Amino acid sequence: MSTRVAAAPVPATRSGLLESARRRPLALAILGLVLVAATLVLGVALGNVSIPITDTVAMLAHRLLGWPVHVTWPQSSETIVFELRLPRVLTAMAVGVALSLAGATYQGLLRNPLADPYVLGTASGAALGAAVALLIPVQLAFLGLGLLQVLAFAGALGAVAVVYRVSRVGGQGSMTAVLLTGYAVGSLLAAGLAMTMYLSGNNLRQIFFYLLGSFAQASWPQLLVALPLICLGSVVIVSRARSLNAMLLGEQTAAHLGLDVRRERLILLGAATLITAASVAVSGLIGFVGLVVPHLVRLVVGPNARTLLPLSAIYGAVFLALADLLARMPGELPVGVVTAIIGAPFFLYLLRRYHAGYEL
Amino acid sequence: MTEPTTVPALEVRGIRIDYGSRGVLSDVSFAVAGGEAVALIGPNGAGKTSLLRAITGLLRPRAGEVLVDGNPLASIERAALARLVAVVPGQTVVAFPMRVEELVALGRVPHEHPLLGLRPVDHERIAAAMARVGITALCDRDVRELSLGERQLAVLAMAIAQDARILLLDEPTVHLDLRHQVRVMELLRDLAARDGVTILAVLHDIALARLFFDRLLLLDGGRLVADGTPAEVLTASTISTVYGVDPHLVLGGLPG
Repeated sequence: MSTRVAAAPVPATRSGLLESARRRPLALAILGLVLVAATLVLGVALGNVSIPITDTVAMLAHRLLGWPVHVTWPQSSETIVFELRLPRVLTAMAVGVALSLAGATYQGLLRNPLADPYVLGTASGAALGAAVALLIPVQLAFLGLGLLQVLAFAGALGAVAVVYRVSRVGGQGSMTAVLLTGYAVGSLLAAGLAMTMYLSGNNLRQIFFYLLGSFAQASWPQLLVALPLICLGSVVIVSRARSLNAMLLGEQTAAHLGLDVRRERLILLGAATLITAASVAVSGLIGFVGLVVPHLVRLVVGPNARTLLPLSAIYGAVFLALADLLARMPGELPVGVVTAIIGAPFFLYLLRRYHAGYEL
Repeated sequence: MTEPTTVPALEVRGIRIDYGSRGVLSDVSFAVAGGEAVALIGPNGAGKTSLLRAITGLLRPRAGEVLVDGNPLASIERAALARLVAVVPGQTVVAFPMRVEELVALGRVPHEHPLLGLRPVDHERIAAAMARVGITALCDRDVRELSLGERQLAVLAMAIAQDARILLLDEPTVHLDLRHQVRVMELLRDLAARDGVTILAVLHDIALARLFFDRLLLLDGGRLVADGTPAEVLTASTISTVYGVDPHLVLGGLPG
């Protein structure tokens, strides 16, 4: 039986602007890419030490595209741009892409509009891994990564692997069983996290920062490890748009539409978990991106994964890079706080405005 | 015109299905010719849905086999099967905002390009399916705003867009009002008569089955107990033994 929840009054016709946007996904993609470029320049130019936009553009063109630009800026500006800000902005964008795609994938697979990238235990698994890493006094470095990143990554992957194994024991392993197991395993891991935090004493603050998410520690080595994983997972997800479409009406209908449901589910779940784990390892837990961005895009262009996925990726990158820019304006706020402050009210507004009476 | 053939579009041979130690279907056999419309009836728990699931390949029978166009189901790839057989469920839950046209477009999943998606030919088929069912005017409406009857028509259009020659329906008229029940039934008859689509519909409503189908299959306790015209299948004795009710309730007239 289906139950309708939150059925707001339905506007008779959608506004002209939104309707024309829906019919032009390519224009939305191009606009998004322009915004990505603009956000990149802004993110690199603004900060404690502001660098003129023209210098920033010239530097980026000179170093990245090899344009013959006359060097007029001090070496210190170049250090700030290329060693500090560029990896940070690019990390924020990569994580924005990953969380948005993972969110869209989990929402589609679980057929649950409230699903986000953390729903199957990745968040608690990663947090527990990070907290344990902070308790261990040994400093290990591995490909430029600290123990924290490695354990957070392993914790996120491990949590979902456990959820998947356990939920399949009962037989076919319906996605509802996966979801409920995710909550159970997540709660268990959260208890472990609470215990670790209780024992951690002086490290409490660091764990706390990890839980709120930040790009302050972003660096080239970290980005260069996370980026291939995120690219791989993202390509896998975007290329399987058809499978996500087939699952829009449930797994049984997907099978009737010719899908090998088990295989596609495993591939999509694996790819979404991989990019989520890579993200939480480098940036901590940043909420709301993976929930809000796919919803916003879906409200504009509809549920077709072929447009939903690429547009979610593009606008996720813009959203998180802008949120990080806002987070470092007043000093250094946790970026997760910013995404929640922007994301939650905007999401509520859209839900009310555009009749999102979801059937659960 | 296609040349006359003796191979049935759909054949079920000696199917047996068990859930654990409990037998659900035993030794069920029948054949449906191309372009024939058949209703599968029977009381709750008779095994109708299990039989349908076996025919769609979701349930593997313990014994026996299903043949589509003479080919064993097991030898047909899932994706190829989806181009031969379309399934209409009794109820569809739509988890996200979705326009009618987007729902109908899902019927093209087995045909569309895996990476590029819908091509012009697919859009033609989608428009044709909506026109066939008579829901073109609803094309931009949100599926969740539709009445149950309209929604079921949209799901039917999705199955038609799938361009399959065999259509299986699992209680397609459940929860529908009389007008929509009749509309769905007439559409099914028309699909069989005009397009040569082979139809097998699980129906709860014996009266509808009797009115709109020339051939009924009656399932009871996992066995096929009758196969024939409504007059042959729905006799006073089968109704009282299979359904355990006074046959006059079904066949009209006053209870004795």
